[in-house]
Amino acid sequence: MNGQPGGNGKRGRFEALCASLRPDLIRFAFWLGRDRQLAEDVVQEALLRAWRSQDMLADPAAMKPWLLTIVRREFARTFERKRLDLVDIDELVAREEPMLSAAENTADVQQIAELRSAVLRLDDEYREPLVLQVLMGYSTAEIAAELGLSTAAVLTRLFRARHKLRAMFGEDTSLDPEE
Amino acid sequence: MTMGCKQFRQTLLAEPRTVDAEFTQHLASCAVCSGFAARATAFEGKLARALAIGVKTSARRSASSAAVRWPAQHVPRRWLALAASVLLGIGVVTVLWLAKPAPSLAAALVEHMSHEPGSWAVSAADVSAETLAEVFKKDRLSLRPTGGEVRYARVCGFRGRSVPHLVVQQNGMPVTVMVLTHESVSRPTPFAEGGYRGIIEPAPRGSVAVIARDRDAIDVAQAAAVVVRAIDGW
Repeated sequence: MNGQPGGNGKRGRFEALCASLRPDLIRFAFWLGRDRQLAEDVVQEALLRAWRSQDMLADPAAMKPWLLTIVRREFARTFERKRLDLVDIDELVAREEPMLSAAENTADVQQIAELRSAVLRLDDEYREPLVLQVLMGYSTAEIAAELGLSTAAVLTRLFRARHKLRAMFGEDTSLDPEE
Repeated sequence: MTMGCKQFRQTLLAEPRTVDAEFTQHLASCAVCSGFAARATAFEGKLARALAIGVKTSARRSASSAAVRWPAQHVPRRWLALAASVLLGIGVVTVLWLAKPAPSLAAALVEHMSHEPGSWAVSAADVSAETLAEVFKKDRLSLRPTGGEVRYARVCGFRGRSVPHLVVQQNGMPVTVMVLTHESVSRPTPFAEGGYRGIIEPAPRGSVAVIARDRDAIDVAQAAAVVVRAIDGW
């Protein structure tokens, strides 16, 4: 075994890959739990679990979905252990301002921040598939498999998630242009 | 059938990246929906940027722990002496441990069940043929409809391999099916533990495990035979 975490060899490669995927996993966990510190803790614990059972991963190409599944389970375990408080979105947005304020210097910076706040207001059942699709790049079939839903159910949730967001921003939500 | 405006917009809001032929055709032929799609694409870009929040380590963590905190591998020297003195005692325990049989395949299956309790809470709708094909793709297998109504299907990590994990409705009862092409058994191996009853059935390539909850009155041996026969491509 290597002397240094992240050194040469299988362990080093595993750790390097985990480290590269960590930001996206934290983002996913944040949108799942709507709490930055919880997200960091959950991902840290999930990565340690993955590290302990890295031999279970036969196909390194499947590492991202494998880790994401572990993060989801770890989040569920955390949720079981401590009953998480109801989230006041306004307080949450104020508390997580450094994370939610758009880092980019663009004209629509305010709109991006408002969009983040709007996503936080979506129900879990809409927010999670949306994040899996847009942030994690999952296909509908992959989301269905991860969430244990039918593809039809996933499509419905994705549609409703965007429909709600668009409505919040005054975007055209009509399905029939004749209406 | 040509896609209408309503279906186009529903598809666009559910799967903006779809490359479905009818979708593309409608996009090219309907000026109103084309404008709608352009605005939706712009909104989608903002959504993607919104979700990609900056990941800075919270103030609660020190800079040194900004990255993943892996278990330490360096053991301080002062602990080495203590560890050495303990080694002999551990050796005795280790011998006893080694005498204990390794976790059985059945135990691993039951353990896997505990990791996916949600798989039993499946929807009333069947899994799509595309999803099913994807789940079986790696093993170059397929499942005929005679295997039962598939209500849950995904690829799971199990003992170092990716294996198809299904929940199939047989005679109105759900059973979990795990297709283990890398695990061979010489004969049907029934087991019952942890609130589950199951059987590991030999298959032409590896085995198939069928697991039912204790409370569901289903003949797992019969269910396993049905599933093995329904799988093509062995």
